[in-house]
Amino acid sequence: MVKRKMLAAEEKLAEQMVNVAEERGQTLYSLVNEVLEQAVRAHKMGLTLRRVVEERGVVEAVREAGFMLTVKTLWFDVIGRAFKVRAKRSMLKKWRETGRWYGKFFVAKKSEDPVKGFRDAVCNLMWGASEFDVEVNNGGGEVRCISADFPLSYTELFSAFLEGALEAFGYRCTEKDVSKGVIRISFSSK
Amino acid sequence: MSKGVAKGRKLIAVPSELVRELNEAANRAGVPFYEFTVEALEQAVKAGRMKRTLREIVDFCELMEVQRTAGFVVAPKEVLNYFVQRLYSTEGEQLREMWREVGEWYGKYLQARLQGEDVVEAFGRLVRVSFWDLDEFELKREGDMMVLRCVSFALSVEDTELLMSFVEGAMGSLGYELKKRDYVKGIVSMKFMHGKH
Repeated sequence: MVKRKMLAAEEKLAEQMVNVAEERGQTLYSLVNEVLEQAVRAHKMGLTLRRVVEERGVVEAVREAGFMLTVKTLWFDVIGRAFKVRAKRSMLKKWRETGRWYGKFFVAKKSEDPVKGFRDAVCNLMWGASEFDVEVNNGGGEVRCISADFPLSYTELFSAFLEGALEAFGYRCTEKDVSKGVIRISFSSK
Repeated sequence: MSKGVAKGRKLIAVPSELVRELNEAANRAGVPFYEFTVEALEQAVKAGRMKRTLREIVDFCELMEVQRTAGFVVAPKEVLNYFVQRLYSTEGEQLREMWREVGEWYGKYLQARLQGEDVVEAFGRLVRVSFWDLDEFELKREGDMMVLRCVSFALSVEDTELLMSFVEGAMGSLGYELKKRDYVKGIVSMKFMHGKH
């Protein structure tokens, strides 16, 4: 017989757990066991369950928004090749349009704070970037992105993507500084 | 209400060994035990609303960590497709070779990273969680062969061919030689045999 101990939980939370267990056809005891085992497992991975669940939600949102996972070397190589054979201007235009579309997507999906939704999605999923942030204050702000991995072609295209997204949020670019792996865009309300 | 329990709280039974592990984890995280367990229960409720279990979510997170270390990145699908479509007519062979080489590297990476695990089975799981356009992806043993069946309503012919090159490269570096393949847009069937045969 497994020795048991009793844990205290808020009544409302305990009731919600009972509901989840019922929906899954599990006993409360087995559900709670499973949950707490996963909390220990997440901790061993250096994460909290909150972080793990949030990340899953972001992946779901980004997938819904039409992003995909791909291997970085392939992605950069395809861009580099396309940069050589296609007109740079038309590629930048395409990225800007795509950024505008994603910006509008976040306006529709996260209407309470689309910029934060966009920033969180990029932060959580731009695994190659060492820094990405969007600061908004008094009708303006700044986007910063730093990644030693980004080739110049990708940096330029990604900056066009960000500009497109900012346009969808109702901002216009006032200053832009782009060099290999570094993007800084200042913006203000239109 | 049970004796000794604050008003508005309920007692839930948990195995003693798990309580000990939770206590250790909470201490290491510098979080009070009660807060640590309540947070876990709250996240389980949240996962339930997402129609998932916490186990599935933590499994997914673990697989994503493997992909992150392998150099996977998130890219706008429309843009990647746009570039591939435009390059494919003139550079299709080079693109397929690139995908094959990356697949080979990925297979070697998985062997190094997942020592002691069934790497081929893990490869199948990783493809399923990472290639979001695939509606079905099954890689299973049938006698001496490894048989892959894949269905996607979203893949173009070009994407289908590139996916096959990637899989062929990965399976090759895991010791499996391609014996047969059939495909049309979005539907792939491949058979591999282990190199020792």
